[in-house]
Amino acid sequence: MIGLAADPTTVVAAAKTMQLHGSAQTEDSSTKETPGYAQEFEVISQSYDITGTGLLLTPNDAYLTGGVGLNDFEGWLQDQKLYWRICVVDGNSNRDIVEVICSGTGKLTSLNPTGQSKQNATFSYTLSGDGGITVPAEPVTAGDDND
Amino acid sequence: MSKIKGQNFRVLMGGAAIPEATNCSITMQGNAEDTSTKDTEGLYTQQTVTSSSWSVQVDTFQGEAAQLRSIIRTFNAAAAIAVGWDQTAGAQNRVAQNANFKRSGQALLNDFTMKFDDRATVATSLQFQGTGALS
Repeated sequence: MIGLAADPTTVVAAAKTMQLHGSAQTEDSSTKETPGYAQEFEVISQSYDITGTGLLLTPNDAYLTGGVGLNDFEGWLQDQKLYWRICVVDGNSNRDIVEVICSGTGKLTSLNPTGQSKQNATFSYTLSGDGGITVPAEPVTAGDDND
Repeated sequence: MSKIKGQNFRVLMGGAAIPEATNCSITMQGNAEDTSTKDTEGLYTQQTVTSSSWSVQVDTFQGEAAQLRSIIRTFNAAAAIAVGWDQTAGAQNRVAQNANFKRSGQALLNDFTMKFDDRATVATSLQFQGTGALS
């Protein structure tokens, strides 16, 4: 359901899991004029990150599901602008985009391949958002390019 | 005395029940200040509540694209919305009851998480920071 790619038209399925987490920093805006005891708050900044996990299918060339290799991920760690989209997908290997939920750009800030004895090699990553999360006018289906 | 079942404890956003909710947690807090002085007898501090705040956290299985977009739009707006809770009964917990239990106020969606795994469900977690008093 998640697509990470270095260009906005390519969607690469991550192998296992993905999580989108948005967080707003709030500030107590209560003053001496605020009636009662209840505090009043306002949002002063927002941020988000995306974390994901997957399998390293062939550790030698570290080729991930969807055709993105570990080398690509490493390259993305070099302050490269990264496009992401969260899509409803379907079809063969879930590669066909049915509907775009949201999108944005960010920077890959961590990459963690791990290998445990007798288990598949795995990786995890963190993408820190640059700017906001874009929500397209609904419904947006495959072929639309306004996200 | 009748007990309130967890399934009958419903959180509302914008006047409507948050759909496909699983767990919810409400926190009401009195923020206390130590007002002990040199005149205070003994070792114990004396606390005075100087302000109060509240927050609501809800876990759901909202997985439809429109629902997910709505959550992000609410977050992006960074504006207070109506949030509250009540006690329900009836089929699918659609009937509100016990007006004494109902509370509502304005709150900011200050944290959300959407978890997409490689199975069917999308788990979301929403956290609201109340702003102003409950009524």
